[in-house]
Amino acid sequence: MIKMIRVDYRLLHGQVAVSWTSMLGADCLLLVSDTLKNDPLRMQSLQLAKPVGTKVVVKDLDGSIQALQGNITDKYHLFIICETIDLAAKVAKAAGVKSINLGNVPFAEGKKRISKSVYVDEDEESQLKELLNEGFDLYIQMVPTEKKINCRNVLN
Amino acid sequence: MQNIIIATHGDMAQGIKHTAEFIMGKQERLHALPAYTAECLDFKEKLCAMIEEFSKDGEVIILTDLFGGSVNTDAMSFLGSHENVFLIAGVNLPLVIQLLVSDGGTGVKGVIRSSIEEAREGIVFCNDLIDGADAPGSGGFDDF
Repeated sequence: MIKMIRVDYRLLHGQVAVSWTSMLGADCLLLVSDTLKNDPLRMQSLQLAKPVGTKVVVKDLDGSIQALQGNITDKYHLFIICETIDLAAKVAKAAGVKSINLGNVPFAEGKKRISKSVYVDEDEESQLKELLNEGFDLYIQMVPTEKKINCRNVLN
Repeated sequence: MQNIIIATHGDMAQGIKHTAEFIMGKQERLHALPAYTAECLDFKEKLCAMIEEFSKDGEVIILTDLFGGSVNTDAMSFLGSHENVFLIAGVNLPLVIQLLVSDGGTGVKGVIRSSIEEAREGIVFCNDLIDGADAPGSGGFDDF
């Protein structure tokens, strides 16, 4: 059972590991990244952020989709964290989930700020709009105690 | 309802509260007393007032910076007269987070003891992790 799909380029850190996992009652985290496996130092520091008593699985996009389309993940209360909007969109479609939480999308030169922690370039913006048109619930929410912001209201 | 008061020499109390809320979002039941700063010169009176107010609604957990320091000594003087006041010396951020996420299932004393355990484990000499094969986190990630 999928509790939430989130976009967060930092994948596993204080806010995610502690507040969301506990609020969602998740017992398994799936980190979706196509870059992490080639970055041993980042891999190592992420391992230190593993919450006690929670399984943490790292997979690339293909591996994630394969796992989600089988029945291997059914027994878990799964919290999926994707490194990018694009990965989250593909994972959500593969898993048949129509809701995505936007947590952290990093700033870069030329990106548009749509909330204090979400910055989008043109491709990401049009991808979000496309998802909205397909009926996705896209909401910006950093931590559980914060109010949800509907993505529709900040994209124009 | 359980209230948590962080009391420290100087501004550390507000700093820890601020950082805990950065991670966890706004916490209505987390309070900071920066003793001996301009806004808190009458520290013991302020602590007394908070304890009187919060202990009516439930447990009060006081976290101080240093065992044996004057802030902790002042706080200790309230323990004899209030049975729902609890005091922990040596506050750190993992302790505060752990107390905030605990659901109270094991009773307040159980929650405090397990939170202290977690907080101690949160102090780590990271160089040993890079060097040592049996360091926490070296087990890698899981699989389904």
